[in-house]
Amino acid sequence: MYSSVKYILLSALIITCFSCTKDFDDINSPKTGAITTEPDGLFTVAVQRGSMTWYMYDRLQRYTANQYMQYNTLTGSGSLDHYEPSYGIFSDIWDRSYGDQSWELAPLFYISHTIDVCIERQNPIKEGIARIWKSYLFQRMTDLYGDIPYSEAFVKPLPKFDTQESIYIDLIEQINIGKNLLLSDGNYESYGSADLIYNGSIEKWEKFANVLLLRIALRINNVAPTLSKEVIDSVKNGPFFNSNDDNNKMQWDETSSNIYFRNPILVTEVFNNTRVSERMINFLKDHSDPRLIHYAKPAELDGEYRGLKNGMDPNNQTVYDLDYYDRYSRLGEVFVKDDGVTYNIHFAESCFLRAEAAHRGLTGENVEELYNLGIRAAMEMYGVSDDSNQIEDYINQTEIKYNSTNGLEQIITQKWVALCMNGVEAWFEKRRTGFPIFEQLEYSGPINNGQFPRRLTYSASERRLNPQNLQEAINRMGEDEQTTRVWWDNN
Amino acid sequence: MSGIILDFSTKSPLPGATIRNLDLSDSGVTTNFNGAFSIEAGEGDQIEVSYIGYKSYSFFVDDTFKRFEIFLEEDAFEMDNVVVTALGIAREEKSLGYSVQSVDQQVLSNNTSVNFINKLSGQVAGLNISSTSNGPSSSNRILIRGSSSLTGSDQPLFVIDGLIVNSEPGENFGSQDGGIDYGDPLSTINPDDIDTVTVLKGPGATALYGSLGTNGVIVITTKKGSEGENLKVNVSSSMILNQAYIFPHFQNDYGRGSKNTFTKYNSQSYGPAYDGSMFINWLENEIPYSPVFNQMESFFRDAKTTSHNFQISGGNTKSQFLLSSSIYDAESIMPNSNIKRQTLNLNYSTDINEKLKFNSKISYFNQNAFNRPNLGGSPDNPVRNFYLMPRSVKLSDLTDYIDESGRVITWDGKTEGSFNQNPYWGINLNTNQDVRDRAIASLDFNYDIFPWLNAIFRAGWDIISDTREKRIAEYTVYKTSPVATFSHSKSNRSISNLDFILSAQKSWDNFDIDLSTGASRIDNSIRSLSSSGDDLVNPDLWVINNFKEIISTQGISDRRLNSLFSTLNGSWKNKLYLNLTYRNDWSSVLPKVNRSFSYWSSNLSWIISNSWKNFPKAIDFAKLRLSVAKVGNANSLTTSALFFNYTPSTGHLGQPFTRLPRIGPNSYIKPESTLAYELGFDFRLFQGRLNIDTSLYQNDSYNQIFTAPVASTTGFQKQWINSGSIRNRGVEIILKSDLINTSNFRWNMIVNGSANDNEVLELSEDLPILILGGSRSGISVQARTNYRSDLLVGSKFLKNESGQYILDEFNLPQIERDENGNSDFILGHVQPDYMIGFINSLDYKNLSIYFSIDSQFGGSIFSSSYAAGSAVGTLQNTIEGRKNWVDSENAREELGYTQQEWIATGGIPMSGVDEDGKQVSVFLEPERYWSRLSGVNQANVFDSSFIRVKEISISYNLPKRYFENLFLESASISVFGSNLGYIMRKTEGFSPQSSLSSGKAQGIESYAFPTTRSIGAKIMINI
Repeated sequence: MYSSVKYILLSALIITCFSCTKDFDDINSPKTGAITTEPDGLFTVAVQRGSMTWYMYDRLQRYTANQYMQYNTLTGSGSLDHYEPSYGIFSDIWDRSYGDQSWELAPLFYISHTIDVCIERQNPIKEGIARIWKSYLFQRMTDLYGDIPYSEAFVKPLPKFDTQESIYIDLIEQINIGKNLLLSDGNYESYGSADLIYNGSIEKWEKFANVLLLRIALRINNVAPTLSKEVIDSVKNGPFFNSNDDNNKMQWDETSSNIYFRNPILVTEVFNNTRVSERMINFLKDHSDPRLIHYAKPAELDGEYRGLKNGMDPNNQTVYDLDYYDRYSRLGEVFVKDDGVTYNIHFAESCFLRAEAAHRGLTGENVEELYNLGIRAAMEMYGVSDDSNQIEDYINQTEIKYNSTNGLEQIITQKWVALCMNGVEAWFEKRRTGFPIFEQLEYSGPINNGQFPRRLTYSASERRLNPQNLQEAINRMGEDEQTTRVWWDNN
Repeated sequence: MSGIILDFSTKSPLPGATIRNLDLSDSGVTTNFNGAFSIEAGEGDQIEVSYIGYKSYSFFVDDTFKRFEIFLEEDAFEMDNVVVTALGIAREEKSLGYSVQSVDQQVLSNNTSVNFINKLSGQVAGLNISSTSNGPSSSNRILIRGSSSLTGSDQPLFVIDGLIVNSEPGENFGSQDGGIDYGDPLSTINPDDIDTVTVLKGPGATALYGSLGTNGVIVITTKKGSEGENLKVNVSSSMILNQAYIFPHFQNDYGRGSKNTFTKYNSQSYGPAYDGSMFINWLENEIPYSPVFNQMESFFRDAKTTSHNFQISGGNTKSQFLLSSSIYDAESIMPNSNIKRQTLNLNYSTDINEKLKFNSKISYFNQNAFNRPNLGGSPDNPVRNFYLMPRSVKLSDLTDYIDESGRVITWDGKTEGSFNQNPYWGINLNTNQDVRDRAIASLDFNYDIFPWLNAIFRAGWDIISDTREKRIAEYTVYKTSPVATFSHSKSNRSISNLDFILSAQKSWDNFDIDLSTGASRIDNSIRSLSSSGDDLVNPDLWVINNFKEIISTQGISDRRLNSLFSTLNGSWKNKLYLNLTYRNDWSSVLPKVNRSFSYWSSNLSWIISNSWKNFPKAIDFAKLRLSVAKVGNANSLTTSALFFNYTPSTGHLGQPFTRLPRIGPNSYIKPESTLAYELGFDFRLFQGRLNIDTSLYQNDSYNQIFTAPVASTTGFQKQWINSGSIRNRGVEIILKSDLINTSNFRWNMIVNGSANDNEVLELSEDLPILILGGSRSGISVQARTNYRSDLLVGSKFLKNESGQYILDEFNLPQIERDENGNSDFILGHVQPDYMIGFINSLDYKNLSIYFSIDSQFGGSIFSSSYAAGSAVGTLQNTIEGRKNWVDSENAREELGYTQQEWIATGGIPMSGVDEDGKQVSVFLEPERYWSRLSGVNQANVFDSSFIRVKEISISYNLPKRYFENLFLESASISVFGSNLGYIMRKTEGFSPQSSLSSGKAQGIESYAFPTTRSIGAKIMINI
C-alpha cells in the first residue's frame, strides 16, 4: 500500500513538472525582432519617407500638384491635368501616408511612433526634433484633405477626424513644445547621422521650427488673424534660415538598386512621359530667367526650350501622337540628376515667408530686401552664379522689382518659381492667395467643371473601414469633393 | 475444466489466450506457453475464449466436456483487432466510439513514389490527398474531413512511434512568379520501414492531442524486430520508369506571327498556315515553313528510379531488433535533375526485467536533390516556355543557349528585358540544390509497477537540417540587373517530445475500467541563416564569399506546449463502451491571458449485436458509435501576432531603418477550437464477409484566427483577430468484403466513399469576404460568409436572363460588373464534393494482384496556362475558324473595304445580343476572341473531377522448390504501376491534380509539370 502511494506521489510530481509555464514568456519573446528600440531607426524612416520617395512623389507631385501648379504635365491627356479627380490616386496617397503598405513605410505612422519611443527612452532632444517633424508632416496632410484623423490616429482602431482648426492649434503647440525640449539641459544625444536632414543639429532644427511656424501663421492669417499674429510675434526675432546650408532637404542615393532610395524625380523621368509646363517655361523665358537652362532641357526636336501646355483638349488628336512630344522640353538636370536633392523647406521659401509677413505689416522687416534675398537664394540653390550680374539684372526688371501694390502677387509668384516641382506647397499657397494666376484650362471635365481643386477626396478604404467618423467629418466640413474648401481657404 | 486452445489453420497452440467463465466473477485465466488452461466451471456455465486477432468463441459447459481442445479461427476482419489510438494507447477496435481507419501495409510497399503520402489517396474515407504537379518529391495537401481553419494549418498531425514529428513543408513556395517546392518532411520517410498507418479522423479520436488534434492525426508505426530463433533478412530492389503522359494539346497548323503575318521575333502563334514554303527563321536560317512536332514531349525524358532496401531483424523472447537501410535514386523527367535518398534505421527493444521493458529507435535520413523545377510563372519553368513559345520554333534550335558574350540565345531575339527564357539555359545555368539531413530518435520505458498499474515514459527528437542553394547566372534574360545572384541558406528544425503516462485498470464481473493519466511537453525550435549575394567577384565560384553585395538574415523561433491529460475507458459486459478524455494545454504561442485551454471528448460504443439474445442471425456484429468532442488549433500564430515588433532593416545612405509591424498585433488572441459530433454504424454480415461502416459528422470550427483589413489611419494594413466559424459536415461509408474466400483464391474488395460539405458560418461583422490567395490573372481563392472557405472567385461572362452573351462594341463577349464596378463572382470551389476509392486484392495460390482506383467529384481548377496558351495561339482549341477568317480578310482586302464596313464571312461564330438587346450573329477574329477570353476567368475554369487508376500490382511468391538449396525463406517478384491514367477527367492538357501550391490557394494551375505515370518491377528476398 505504501509503495503504491510512493509511486503515485512520484508520478504526480513528474506530472506537475510538465505543466509549469514560467519559461513561456522567454520562449515566446520574438527573437529576431526587438520589443524595445532606440528612436533613431524610426526617425530615419520618417524623414526619408516624409521627403517623398518615388511613389508618393509620382502620385502626389508629378500627377497631381505639379500639374495643378503647372510645373509639369504628363503626355497624353490625363484627368488630373483637367482638374478632374482620380479617386484611386487620392486614396493611395492617404493610405500610404498613414498605414504601412508594401514598401511604402508610412511617415505619419513612423513619426508618431518615434515620439512615443523618445518619451520611453527619455530623450528630450530627440523628442523635440521628432515633434517638429511630425507637425511638418501633419500640416501637409491636413492641407491636402481638410479634417483628418490626428489625435486618435495610431491610437484607436477607429480614429475620429479632428477639425483642421484644432489640428492647426495643436501643430503650433507641438512645435513650441519641440523647441522647448531642444533647450533641455543635460547631456542628451541627438540623432547624429540617423537624421538624414540635419545630422541632429539642434540649431538647424530650431531654425526649421521657426520657419515652419511662420509658414503656419501665414497660412491661417485669413481665418485666424489673432492666432496668426501671436505666432508671428513669438518667432519674429528668428533665427530663420540664413543660407542654403540651412535647407531642409533629402539627398538621394545614386548607388542604390532600390528605387525607394533613388532620386524620385529621376525614377519617374525614366517613363519619359513628363514635360515641363508651358506656363513655367514661358514665365522663365519672358523674364530672361537664368534658371531656364537648369529647369528644362532643350526639346529633342530642335533644341528650343518649349513648355507643354497643361489641360489641353483631349479631343485634340495630336495630344495622342507620341512623336509630338519631342517638341517639348524634358525636366532639367537639377531635378533629374542621379545624386539629386529634393527640398522640403528651403532658404528661398523662408525669405519669401518673411517678406510676406513684412508686406502684410505683421513684422517690421524690410520687404524688398527679403524678397531679393529670396530670389538670390532660389537662383543659387540651383547653381546659378551671379557672373555677369545676371541675378541682379533679373531682379531689376520692372515686373520683377518689388512694388507694394502687387507685392503679394510678386512674392507668391517668385515663391512659385522657387518651389518648382514641389507642387504641393505651391498649391497650398495658390489656394490661400490666388497666385500665381493661371489661364482657364482649354478643357473642363464633367465632375469638377474646370474649377480649381481645393483639396483631395478621402480614401476609399477609410470610407469602407472607418465610415462613421468619416461621415461625421463630411457633415461638418461639407461634401467630400475637391471643390469643398478647407478651413483656412477662404480666398 | 481444462483444455488447450489452438489455431484453427496452423493447429499450433495459442499462448496468452483469455478464458473466462461469464457466470463466475473474477474468473479470467490465460493459456500457458502450450496453449493449456484450467478453469473452475460448473455445468451450464458460459465460457468465453478470446485472443487478439482471432474470433472469440463461447460455449456452455456440458457435463460431458471436462477436457478438450478448442480451435480458434483467425479473424479476417479483425473484429477484436487492436488499433493504436491517440498517444500510442492500444485499444480494441470494437470499443471505439469514433471512426478510425488503417491502411494496409501492402499499399506502401511498392515504392513508386518519392513521397509515400501519395499512395494513401483513395485508401481512407474522408482523407483527401491533393498532390501538386511540381516534379518529384513535391508536396501534398492532406485534408481530413475538409478544411477547418481559414488561415492556419489544416494539415493533420503526424505521429511516428509515439513521437510527434515535423511534417509541415516549412514554407509557402508556389506563386505565379515561381518558387521551388522542396517537398514536405514526410517524403524523407522510407515506406519499407512502415508497419501500420492509422488515420484518426475526427476530434473524438484526437481530443487526447488537444490543441494539436483539430485536423486529425495520422499515426504511423515502424517495423520492429520479432521473436524467433533465426535472424531474418529481407532484401529488395526495384526499378521504376516514370513517364510523362499528359501534355497540353498543342496545335501544329499555324506558325509564328500575328494576324496571319509572319515576323521573325513575333511572340504569338497566329501566323500563317504552314505551307512548306521557304522562310527565314529567328536564327537567320532559311528553312521550309512546316510544322514542328513534340517540342515539349521531346524536352522531357523518361526517368529511371532505382531503389534498394535491406532489412535484418531478430531477437528472442527478451530482446528484439530491426536494422534497415535503403537507397533511393530518382531521375526527374526534366533533364539535369534528380533526387537521391539514403536511410538507416535501427529499432531495439528489450525486457530489462519482467516488469520493465525498453524500446528505442533511431533513424537517419539523407536526401540530396539537384535542380528541382522552378514553378509557376517563373521564366525558368520549362513548361511556361512551351505554352508560350511560337509553334514553329524547333526545340533543337534552342540547345545552343548561350553566345560568346555570355548572353542568352532565345527565340524572341532579346538578350535582356524579356520573360521568354530559353529552357536549356534555365535547367543548365539557373540551377538549385538542396540537402536534407534528418534524424529521428526515440526511447521509451514501460514499467508494470503492479499488475494493475503501468507507467510509460517516452522521449523523442526529430531534427531536420536543410541546406539550400539557388543560382541565377549573370545575363539571365529576365533580370533587371545583369549580375549573377546566389542564395544559400541553412535551417534547423527540431521537435522534442517528452511523455509520461500512468495507467491503471480494474475489472469486476461485468465492468472493466482503465484510467490513464499523464503529462507531456513538446518543444519546437527553428534556427536559420539565409544569405543572398549579388554580383560574382570571380567567375563561376558559387560560394557566398565570392559576391560583392551580401545580405544575411537570421531566423529564430521557439514554441513549447505543456499538457496534462487523462482518459477513462469503461466497458460493460462487452456490450457498452464509454471513453472519456480530458486534456489541458498550456501553449507558449498564446498570450499570457489566454494560455491555458482544455479539450475533451466523450465517446460511446454500443455493440448492439451483443445486447440481446434474439438479435437477427444474419447480422454477425452491429455497433453504434456516438462521439462528442472539443479540440483546438493554435498553429497559425507567430510571435508577431502577439507583440509589437521592431525589425532592423537596411536603410538610406547607410543609415539603418527600424521597421514597424505591418499587421497589428493582438494580445488577447485565443486558439481556434472545433466542436465535433460524430455518429457511426458498423455492421458485419455473412459470417464477417461483409463489413459496412458509416460515419456522419459535423465539425464546427470557431474563433478562427486571421488578419482582417483595418483602416490605414491605425498605421496598419491588417489586424490579427479571432472571429468567424467554419462548419464541415459529411458522411463516410466504408464497405469491405471478402467476395471470395476459398483456400486457393481470395478476393477482397474495399470501397471508400466520403462526402464533405464546407460552409463558412461567419467571418467577422464587417467582413464578408476573406481572400486566401490568388494570381495576377484576377482569379482568387476566397472564404465568404454563408458560402465556403475554398471558393474560386473571378470574372465571368456578361449574359442576359436567357443565357445569351451580351457583346460589346467589337462584338466580343465581355465580363460582368456589378453596380460598384466589381467583377468578382463565385466560379466554383476547390475541394471536391465527394470522393470514392475502390481497392481490390486478389490472391490465388502464390499470385497476388492489387489494384485501386481513386476518384473525386465536384471541385474546380483554374488554369492560367490554358488562358495564356490560348491567348498566344499555341493550343489546339485556337484553330477553329482561323482559315475561314483569313479567307474573309483576303476577300475584304481585295474588295477594298475597311474593317468597319465589312461583315466577316468566316471565323469563330459568335451569337448573342448587343448592349441594346438586339440579336447579333457574327464571325470573330480568333486572335482577338482568345485574347479576350484569356481575360475572362470563367472561360478557364475546369471541372477537376476525375476517376483515376491509382495502383496496379502483381506479385508472385516464388514457390519454395525454386530455392530450397539457397538458404532462402521466400522470394517474390512483383510488377506494378502507379497513377497509370485517368479513366475520366475534364481538364484539357493537364491533370486535375495540378495545383501550384499545397497551401490555401489551391485550385490554381500555373504551368504545371506534366503528370507522370510510373511502372516498375521489384524483387524481394527473405533469408
